[in-house]
Amino acid sequence: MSFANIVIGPIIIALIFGFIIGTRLHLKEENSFKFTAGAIVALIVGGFIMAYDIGQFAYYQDLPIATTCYNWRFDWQCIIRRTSERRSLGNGIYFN
Amino acid sequence: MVEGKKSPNWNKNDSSPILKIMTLPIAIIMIALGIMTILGGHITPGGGFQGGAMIAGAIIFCVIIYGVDGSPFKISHKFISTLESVGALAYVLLGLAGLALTGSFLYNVGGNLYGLVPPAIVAIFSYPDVTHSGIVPYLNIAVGLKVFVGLSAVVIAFSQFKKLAEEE
Repeated sequence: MSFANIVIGPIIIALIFGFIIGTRLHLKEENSFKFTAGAIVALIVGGFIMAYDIGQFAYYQDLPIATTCYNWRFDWQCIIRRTSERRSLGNGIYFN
Repeated sequence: MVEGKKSPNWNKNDSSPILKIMTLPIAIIMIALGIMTILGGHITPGGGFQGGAMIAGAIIFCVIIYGVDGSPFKISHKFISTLESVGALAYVLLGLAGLALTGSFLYNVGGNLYGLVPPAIVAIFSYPDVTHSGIVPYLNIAVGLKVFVGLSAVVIAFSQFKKLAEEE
């Protein structure tokens, strides 16, 4: 596992997606839901637990959680070489 | 209104306190899971439609529990029309790119499986990913946007019918 190779491609797309939906969220209203700062902290912790339980996606294996992140240097020749190695090995998973 | 006819009362905020406290955090988690389903659509089960339906499910959940007026997610008509247009346009434009460059509609110009597109064009449409799946994740994102706002709009429109009937 390596934390240095993480390039934040799809993470940025996910943040944009979340921002688009999050702009619709209005919490300061005369409503009955109790959504405080503690709830936000609990949500973040719960989100990480959920991502850890889901586990790594196929091909995205730099972090032990489901991130949908890009974890490989953009090196086309390297990818082609790794793909041919994978085909020769017969497994469906990349390893660093 | 027909007397005695039972229907969900989505315009009153009379849900139980447990539901009121738990629904919003669960809805946010559902939205995060939906976004993850969309962005992992090319390598894991699921995709644009499924992820968009999960996000719409979170919106519907809030509408049912808090009511249309009390829902923390305010989905306006302008927002819905904008996202629908962006999703549809992105899908069609990605398809037309393949048609213009190779003669085949929705040809994967980012993946370029048949080698019909120059590498410079492939670099533009390529998804920064180990799988190099080309335009497939972008199509998933476009479909996810459309499904999210489409399903949400249907339920919000249905929930307004009761309100209109009460006003009459």
